[in-house]
Amino acid sequence: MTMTISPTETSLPSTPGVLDPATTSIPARRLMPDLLRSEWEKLRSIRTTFWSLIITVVAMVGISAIVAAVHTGTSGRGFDALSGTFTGVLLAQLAIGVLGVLTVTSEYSTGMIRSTFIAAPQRRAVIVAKAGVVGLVTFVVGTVASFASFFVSAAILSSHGTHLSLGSPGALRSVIGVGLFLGILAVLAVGLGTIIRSSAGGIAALVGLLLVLPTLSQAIPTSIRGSVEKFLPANAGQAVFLHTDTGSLSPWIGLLVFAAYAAVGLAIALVMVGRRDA
Amino acid sequence: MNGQTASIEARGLTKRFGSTLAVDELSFEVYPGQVTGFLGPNGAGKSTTLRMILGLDRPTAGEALVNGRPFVEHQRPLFEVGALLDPKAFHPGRSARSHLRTLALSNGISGERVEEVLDTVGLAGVGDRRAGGFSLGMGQRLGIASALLGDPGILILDEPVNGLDPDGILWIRNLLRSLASEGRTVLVSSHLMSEMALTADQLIIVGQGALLADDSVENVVEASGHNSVRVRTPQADELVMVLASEGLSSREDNANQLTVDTGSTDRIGELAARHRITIYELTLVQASLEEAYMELTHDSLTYQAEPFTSLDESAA
Repeated sequence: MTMTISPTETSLPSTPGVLDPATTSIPARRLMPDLLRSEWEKLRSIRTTFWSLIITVVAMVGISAIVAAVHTGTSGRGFDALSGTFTGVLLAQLAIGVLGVLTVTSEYSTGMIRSTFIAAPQRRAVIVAKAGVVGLVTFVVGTVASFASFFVSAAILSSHGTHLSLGSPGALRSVIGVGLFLGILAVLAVGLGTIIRSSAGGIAALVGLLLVLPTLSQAIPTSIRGSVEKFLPANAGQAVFLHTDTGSLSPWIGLLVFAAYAAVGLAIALVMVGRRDA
Repeated sequence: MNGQTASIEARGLTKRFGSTLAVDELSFEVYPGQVTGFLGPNGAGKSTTLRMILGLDRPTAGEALVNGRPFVEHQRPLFEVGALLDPKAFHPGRSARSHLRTLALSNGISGERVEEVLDTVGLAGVGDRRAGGFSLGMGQRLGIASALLGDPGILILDEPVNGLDPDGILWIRNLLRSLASEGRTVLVSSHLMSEMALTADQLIIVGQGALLADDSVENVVEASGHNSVRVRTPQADELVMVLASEGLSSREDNANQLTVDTGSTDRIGELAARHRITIYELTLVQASLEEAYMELTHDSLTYQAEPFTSLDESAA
């Protein structure tokens, strides 16, 4: 017998030419750091990112200043200085949500997604990297804007005799909570964008989730409305910095519930992006 | 081709979109060192096939292997496969340089290499301009730059000359030829037979998603069997009768010119001499690649009517 089949041959019956030089010279590096760098380059090279973050900062600081200025005359009864400080987040959340959705849907609408997946066919890892980068950038910018709006608000309020500092009850938690809320929201938006793929559809879903759903809940019978409402994504997430509602979840539990929504959304997105044709 | 290893392999590749069968059990192999033309009329399933090879579309049945493995199993595939599917597969708001950087970074490719490929495709001067303002030809060049990023051994290009001016077409043609001469695998799709006649060595021809031919350019022309003989003679009517009596069909192009569908120039010459028919010209007219292609794809249309029932059976 001249033919002996070696173990290597049996394990790779159809691929005798795989070990060409091009294949073997590929650096054995971990994939995720490179995907994160790629997504960071994508995010920073698009004007949408710049404008969304500018709107976020301006909305938060500006509205915070306006609310503080308006309420200084009637400070005291019925006015929660801390919650008022973060009124601008309700606008900023839309800018961040749109940014998160667009990071994915703009790739689908332009055809970039095919270039992306040809360069990195590990689609789930790509979406995770995207969510990670957008989430982290949003958290950082959101936290900076949150501190800025807090100090602007505190300065205006103090000139009219209302004291507000990071030492005030719940203040530090709220300020950091805003950054976390926006960061998690961005991850949720990346998930929505991946599931829906169209920019218009993704943004509509986001607005529905943040603004329409809480309004629709008015249709729920009053006996159970309170217990349903507080678990809605927006209400749960905002509990960490909005204290006006006595019916809301406790701040950290609310944020955890919101993070769970984001995790579920991202998980569905990862399943779908692997299955569908790009 | 024997003895060489296929860089791209399709095995029973099938794609069904709802009730439409886009690709029908396509099997072929693509080898290094030559340009392989992937030909078919529009809608023949070429792009879908390329998308399945590149892991963008999931085959309904069958599989495609690149360097022996499914594309999606490759880590950092830019080092192995460069692809141009769509000349506008970039974000219009991003500069050409940024676009290439995002792709390069995902594979751990350096920024210097980005500058090199920008240079290679002639976009170095407009690297910082928003790619959205690029012409179709510049878009194609940007797509080719991204395909070259990892200096891959395999290149897959879908209709790369679409929308290019004559200069650009010549540039692509030379680029593909030189890439193949360096020992790379070049698979390039087109619906233009004339373009492939100038560029390709090997042809894979598809019609309605099914394989029609997989052969060298010369063999495709030869196998079409559409060689004919042109005869110029003042006695056309007489020659037609003589040919007919020998079982050779011919038609009169005009008063003193015939086209004989089959038969060699030797035989027709001898017949004419025997019957004292004057011949001015006797020319073998070889089928062009274009004609071979038309014949193949035309056959596929009439042939395609039948398998529908068998498909339903196999699906049932």
